[in-house]
Amino acid sequence: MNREVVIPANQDALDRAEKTVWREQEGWCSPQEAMDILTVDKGPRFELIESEAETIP
Amino acid sequence: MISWSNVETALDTLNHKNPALFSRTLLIGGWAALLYHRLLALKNDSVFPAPIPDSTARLVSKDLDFTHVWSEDFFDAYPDFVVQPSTGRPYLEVAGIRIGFAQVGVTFDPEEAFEKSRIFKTHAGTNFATLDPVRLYREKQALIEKGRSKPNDYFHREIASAYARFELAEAFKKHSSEPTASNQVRIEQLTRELKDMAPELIERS
Repeated sequence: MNREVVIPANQDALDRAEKTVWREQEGWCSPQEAMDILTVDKGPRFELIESEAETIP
Repeated sequence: MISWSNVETALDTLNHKNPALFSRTLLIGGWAALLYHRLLALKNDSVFPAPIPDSTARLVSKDLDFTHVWSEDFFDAYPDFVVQPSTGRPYLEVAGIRIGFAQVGVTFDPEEAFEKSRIFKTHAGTNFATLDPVRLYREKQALIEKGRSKPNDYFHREIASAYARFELAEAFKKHSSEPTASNQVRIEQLTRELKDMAPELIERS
């Protein structure tokens, strides 16, 4: 006789499942790609030219 | 893989094609956080080092996200960049990056956030407004608390937290070497914003 196994809804499990789906859809970057993003001497530079608080008269 | 070159080209292109509209945009989201990460890395401050992600999980956002503008205005202004997929709604893509829009933030008011933004400049001279670190922190925190976060939001929140505290510490340093009224006002304003929006960051400073 087959018995139906009911898995109770669990928020953590749902969260994990959601993130797994997201990971499969969006992909993850490799360690090298991560370094390319986080290493400042690679790629263009962006200059902070105005901080809101510095414009106060 | 989206790189900084993609981001820079996209910003320069949007500005070049319609500077009036682009000047009203406010950059939000993951790429705003990563800009602050670059500043922390460049400063190399021993007290506020650039955070290191605890894994190489996807760090960047797929989209370059803006607010303070209507998406319809962007579609009208940049017709050359509208992509019509075989299924789903059309979207904008510039330099390989999908452009995203948020009418409102979870926690911030776009008008106020635009006024309080930080201004960055690309190598080609494009100025662009970016969500300030305190509001960015609070937005990421809210997304995480509401269970609407993506894996990279935790790292982006850590960056915003570090930069907000670094910014205040720098203001104190500047006032110490140049005790002017404007430097004092800057400290007071940064402190007030932190106390109002993210008091837990003051306690950690």
